[in-house]
Order: sequence, then structure tokens, then C-alpha cells
Amino acid sequence: MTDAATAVTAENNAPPPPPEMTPPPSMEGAPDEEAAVEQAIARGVDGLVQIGDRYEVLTNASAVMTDATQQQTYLARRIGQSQPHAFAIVTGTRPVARSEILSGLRTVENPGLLQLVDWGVVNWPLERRQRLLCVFERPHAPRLMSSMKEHRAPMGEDEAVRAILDPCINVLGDLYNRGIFHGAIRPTNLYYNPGGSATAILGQCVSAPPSFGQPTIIEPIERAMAMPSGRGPGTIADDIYALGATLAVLALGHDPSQGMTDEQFIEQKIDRGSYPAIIGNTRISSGLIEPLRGMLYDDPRQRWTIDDIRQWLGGRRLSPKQPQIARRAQRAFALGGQELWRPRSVAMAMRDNVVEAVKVIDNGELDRWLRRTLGDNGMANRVAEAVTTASSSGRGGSFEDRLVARVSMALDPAAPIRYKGNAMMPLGIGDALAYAVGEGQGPQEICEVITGQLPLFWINCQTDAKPEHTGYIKQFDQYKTYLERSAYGYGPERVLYEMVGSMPCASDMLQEFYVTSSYELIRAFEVVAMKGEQRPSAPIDRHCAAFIAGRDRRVAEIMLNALGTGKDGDSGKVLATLNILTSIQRRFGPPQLPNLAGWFCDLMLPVIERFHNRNLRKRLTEEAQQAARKGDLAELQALVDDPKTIRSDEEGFMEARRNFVLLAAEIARLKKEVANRSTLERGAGREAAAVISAVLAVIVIAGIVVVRATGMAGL
Amino acid sequence: MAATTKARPVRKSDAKWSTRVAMFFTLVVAGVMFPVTIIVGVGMLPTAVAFYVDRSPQKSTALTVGALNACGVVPWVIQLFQDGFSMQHAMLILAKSNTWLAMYGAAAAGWMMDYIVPPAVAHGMVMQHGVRIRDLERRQDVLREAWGDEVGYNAIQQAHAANAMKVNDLSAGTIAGGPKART
Repeated sequence: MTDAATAVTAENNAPPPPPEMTPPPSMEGAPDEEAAVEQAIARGVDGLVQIGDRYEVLTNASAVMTDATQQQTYLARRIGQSQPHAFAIVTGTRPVARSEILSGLRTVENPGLLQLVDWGVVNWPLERRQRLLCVFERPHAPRLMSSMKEHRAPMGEDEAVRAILDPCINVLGDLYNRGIFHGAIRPTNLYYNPGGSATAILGQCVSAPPSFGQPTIIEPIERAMAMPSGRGPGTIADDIYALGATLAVLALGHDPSQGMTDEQFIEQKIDRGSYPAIIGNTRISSGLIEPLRGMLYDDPRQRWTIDDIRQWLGGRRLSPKQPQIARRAQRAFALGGQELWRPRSVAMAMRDNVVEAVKVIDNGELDRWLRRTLGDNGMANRVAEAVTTASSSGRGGSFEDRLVARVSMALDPAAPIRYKGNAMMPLGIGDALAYAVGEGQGPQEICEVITGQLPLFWINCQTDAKPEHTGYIKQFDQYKTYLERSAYGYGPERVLYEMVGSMPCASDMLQEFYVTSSYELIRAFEVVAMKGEQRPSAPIDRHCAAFIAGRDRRVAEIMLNALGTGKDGDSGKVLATLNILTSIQRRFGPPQLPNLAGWFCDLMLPVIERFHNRNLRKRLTEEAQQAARKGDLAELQALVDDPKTIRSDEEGFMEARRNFVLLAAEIARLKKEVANRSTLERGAGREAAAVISAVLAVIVIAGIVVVRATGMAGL
Repeated sequence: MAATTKARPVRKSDAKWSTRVAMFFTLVVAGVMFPVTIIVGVGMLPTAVAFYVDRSPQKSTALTVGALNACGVVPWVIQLFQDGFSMQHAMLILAKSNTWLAMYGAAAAGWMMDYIVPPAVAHGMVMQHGVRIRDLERRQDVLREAWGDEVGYNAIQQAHAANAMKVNDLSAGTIAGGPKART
């Protein structure tokens, strides 16, 4: 505890609450966040958690520092300093943090961006598990809006441009140069002291998937249609739109979508265009109209770019863009009790009215509306193709959902894939899957999107083909193959780790850990192995196998295939597990893993029992225990998986078995003879009698002949 | 020899012809040596009975009885040659009771041999088999101890199959003495 903190605590004579009593930070709308931060500092620094040897987090000093939902923030300070000039976000797996952009983000040193100073996986004492902590410099200004429900004085043109637009465009330029999509530009993620001379600071974007916490008003129409976890990575055009929408809200002083559902506001955007939908009839500073129109243009190809905005900031005035509204039909299309005038609206309404949608597709009503009323034969043909492709794999299973999903894509190619109540962009499928797994929901529905080849159809529907689409087709084909295989290392888990590069291993046995690589995985196993009786039945479960397959390309596919679908304790699975972990230990260490090796010793019974020779089994058991004490998995593996020993044992067993059969045959023959004594008498007995008789006869006759012969000779 | 036989199988007509020739010469010899024929024919009657009574293909009973029966007949045949080779002497020999006693007594000894020896031999063989079975079972136990019970899995069925295939080379030499020590 620092001196300052001690003094404050002593003055207040109030001991800091125990960690478990620390009130969780509220999500939005804290009445006075700055005051809360001061109180957190005053609470003292009983619990310190170090991140590397650079920063320490004050676990007793939680405070709302961001609008990130589901994450906690704590004050932090550089080691050796007394004042907490930083704060740490405790990220987790619900939602998954964007750890893949941390390195790039660290290099961005822009006063307009909340500076990421450090990050690391630590043992987080408040939850008794590992967490990824990201440390940011503490901004010197409060959040501009603590909630989207907040009403504030409309921001003037000068302030909006100087304090918000100019610094944010600089930040977006830096991020764009590094290939980073921010995805969290919104009024509640800006730090700014209104009326001050400083400019705004754009908040963090690492604690959740791209656009996860974005309100509907801030996102372009297509991305707003997707569920928050399924928006996927966006483009610089999406960030510019979000910045434009943020400026619009600040210029208005409130969120104009209040009082409307997300669907209603999206419908309004579709009908009128984003700029008119957001600004409406409200009068804003005239100087802001031009950039806002350009930044909120619904067609991303026509939307203002960073250069356009910089030119405008430099004083060059561009011709104002007029909203481009999608073609309206002459007659409304009725679906789900609504009157819909545009194909995009029809596509959106279909998600919630699947049965009725199938009906209008099947009876040709939709086709007629597209051709006759809307006069768009191209779209009608795309819908017909969607119907044909949906029917190609039969009408079983979830045919109706597949059909509606495909027809929706044909009607609105830019919109997300809508399937069984889910809506996600193709590249957001991974994040949606990760979120579903984190929330304990089944991955089935999201996986059906891939197995139904909906992403491929989405790509086919796109009117402007992009070079990266070819790669996506290959990727989704690969994911489909993974889903069609049920063996370890495949299935939804494999797709999850392939699609979400920052997803830590979600195995139940590793709930206490934050494992993002094979290096960390094998060390986590060593700790799990210490649990003795409480440890799971096998070190590698479906999640671990898929994680290794997705992250560690040097673990050969053949090793994973050997895991098969066998049950725990199966000798083949134990050996395959040992092979995989041996491969990892060879490359990443550590050289000694005594607990993990000991765990394998306990699992080794079925492997040892593969050998037939009892003496060999005994010897291997003893030697395995010796190898386990050394902690060398390679030695353990060489012991029980030596082809020479296996072959020698097998040959010996076959020879012993052959001998046993011969012995049994001999015994059976002898017993049969003993049982049939009369046969013995008739056979061998009589033969013996004949031989004895013949021998006697020869002797007697020879004797008689000799006696008679000697008698005749007169001897 | 067998190859020769196989190469030139004796034809049925050839066999009949050789049998006829043999019978012809036998009759000629029997006719020429008629006094011997009388003594042998009368003296070897028990053997002839045994030959017809014995149904076994080996005719071992006939051999047992015949061998000892011959012991009783041969001295009188020798005496016939010594005393004078004539029908008169042959009849004199047959007229003696000693002759009948010797010839038929020897045949009776043959019959006794055929009744006593086979059970005794069978008893001996049973004893010997018992010892051998215990030895083989001990060797099976050694195999089980070294390789586990699975070494004998389904062995009985396979053994019966092997016996059905007349695996007769199951001497001690063909069966390995025990498991190899694998260390």
C-alpha cells in the first residue's frame, strides 16, 4: 500500500472492503464516474496484481472507466509509481477479447486514441482464474456520454470538428495504416471534457469482438441488421460511418433512435437513408451537414474516405451527397402483417415470419411482386436461383429456414446471413460461434449456416466481387469439411478456433486458464495434473484437440486422427494424446512435466495391457514410473510405443499361443485314448501280445532246432 | 518300392494269376510233403480257428495264437524228418497223446497270451498317459503365467480342429518347452 493511500485510508478510518465485497462496476449511466474513480483510489491498494514487471493492477480499486459491457476495469499504475495513471480492463471469453490486434494497437501512439501500454495473462485473484488484462493510460477527461440515453447540449460545429472529427480521423488514419478496424467508435467511448481546450480521446476496442457493443444507430444498415456478436470485422468505411453517426448524435445532443426498436430504426434508415433517418428535421450546424452526409452515405463505395474528410478539414468543400434510397415498389408486399415497399425490408421481415415467407415463395407471390411490381427481373432471377439451390439438398431437415435464408440473401445481398433467428455477416460467424459457446448456447444453429453453404451463397450474391472472396470460398469449404467429421480435432470446436484467432481454449478442464497457444496449453495441463483425483479422465478433450489442430500446425493431422472418437481410457487414444503432448513438449518445453507424466502413468494401464507378456508389463510399469518422475514425456512415449518391443511381444505371444494349442491338442488326444481303454486293448494291447508271442515262438523254435540238431550230432 | 507299385499297379487279372500259381505250388509241395502236411494241418487247427474268429484287420489274435501253436507243432515235424519221412511215421506221431498235448497246449498258451497281455498293456499305457497329460498341463500353466489367460483363448476348439486334421507330430520335440523370457 502506498503512503498516500495509507494516509487516506487512515483518515477515513474505513478499512477497504474484502475483494469479494468489491461492488461490480455498473455498465452504463454511472452518476459520477470521476468521483467513483477518486473513491477507488481512496480505497487503497491491498491487492496488487503485476503484469509482467511493468504495471501493477489495484484489485481493490474498481471503477467504471469504459462502456465495455461485461468487463471490469481496475486502476493500475506503473511499478514504482504511487499514482494510478492507468487502468486495466479484465477481459475474458464472454465476449472474446481481440487479442490479435494488441501488438498493432500498441504501436499506435496518437493523442486521440486511448493508449494501450501493456497487456498480459495474469492469475486474477478475484476470480481465482487467469484473465487477459489490457492496461491503458487513464484519460484525463471523463467519458463524453455515460449512456446513449443521456441528453446533452448539442455540440457546435467548431467543437465537433476540432475536438472530435479532426483527432478521430487522425486515429483512423493510423489504424487504417496498420490494418486495424476499430469497431467501437460511439459517443460513450469518447473521453472529452466539453468546453475544455483538449481534444477527444477515442476509447478502447479490444475487450470485445468488432462492433459488439455498438448501438444500432452507430452501425451501417447491413451491420446493424446483424446480431452484436455476429458483425465480424469491418472496414474503414464502417468506422467512418460510426464516426459520422457519433458526430450526428453529439450534434443533436441525444440519440434520435430512442423510443424505437432496433428494427424500426433500421427500417427508417432503409426508407429514408441514414442521414435523414438520424438527423430528421432537426436543425444542426450547417457546416456539419456536408461531412455528415458524406460519412453517413449508405453505399460504402460512395461514402467519404479519410482523404475526403481530410480535404474537407483542409477547407476544400465537396459537393454534398444526396441520400440514395433503394427503389420503392409501386405496390406494397404484405408479409407478417406489414406492408413492405423494398426488397431489403422484405428480406428483413422474412427472418421473423419464416412460415409465411415460405408460403409466398412457394406460391410465386414474391416472384410476381419482384417482376411485375418492382420490375427487377435480375433480383427475381436471383431469388429463383436461391429457391433452386435450397431445394438441391432435399426438403428435409431445416429446409424452410435454409430457403428463407437464401431468398433473404438474394433480396438483400449486402445484409447478413439470417438463419433461425440469427443474423451474422459471413466473417462474423466465428465471433457468433464463440459467443454462443461462451454463453453456453449450442453451436448447432450457427454451424448449420456453414453446412448449409449459406456463406458461399452470400458470396455468390454479391454484386461487386472482391479478390478476397475467393479465399473465403476455400475457407468455408474447409470449415464445412471440419463440421462433417465428428472425430476429435474436428466439428464445431475446430471451426471455432480456425475462425476466431484470439479465442482461448474453451475446454471445461481449462476454465481457470487463459490458454492461447500450445506453449500455454501444456503448462496448463501440468497444473491440471496436480489435482489428483479431481482431474478429468483424459488430458485432451474435444476442445483441446480442436484448439491444437487450429493453433499448432506442426502437430500432424495423423496424430489428431489417431485420437479418433474413442472413449477415454482407450489405449489408442491415450497413446495419441501422449504423442501430441510429447510433440508439444519437444518444441515448447518445459523439459520436466512430472505431474503430467504422472497423470499419463495413471492412464497407462490400457496401454501397458496391450502387451501380452506379464514380465514385460511389470517391467514397463516400473520404467514408466521412473520416466514419469523425470517428467519427460518423450521417454515415456518411447517406452510404451516402441515398435520393436511391440513386434517382439506380438511374435512371442503368437508363438506361445501356437504352443498352447499344440499342447491342448496333445492333451485332448491322450485323454481320448484314456477314455477309450478297450480301443487301447484291441489296438496296442493285442499288437503287444502278438509281438511277445512271436518273439517267444522264435526263441522256442530256435531252441528246439538247436537241441534236435545237437542230439542228431550225438553231442 | 511304393513308388514302383504306384508306377505299375498290379492288375486284378495278374493278382488272380499269381494267387493261382502260389496255390498250385502249395498244393504241389503239400502233396509232395504229405506227411508234414498232415501233422501241420492237424496241429495248426487252433490257429485256423483263431484266424477265422479274429475280425481285426491286423489278425493279431491269429498271430499270437499261431506263433505259440507253431512252437507245439515244429518239434513233431522235426521228429518226422528224423524218424523217417513217411505217412506211417506221421500217423504214429499223431497217435501219441503227447503230440496232441504239446500242439494244443501251445495253442492254448497263445490264447492265454491274447487274453492277458492286452489289458495289461492298456493299463500301462493309461498310467503313462496320465503322467504325460500332467506334464503337458504344467507346461500350459507356465504359458498362462507368462502370457495370461488369453494365450489359451479358444485353444480347445483349435486343438480339436488340429486333432481332426490328424496332427500326429505332436511329440515333445515339436512343442516348445515354454515361454521365452522377454525382458
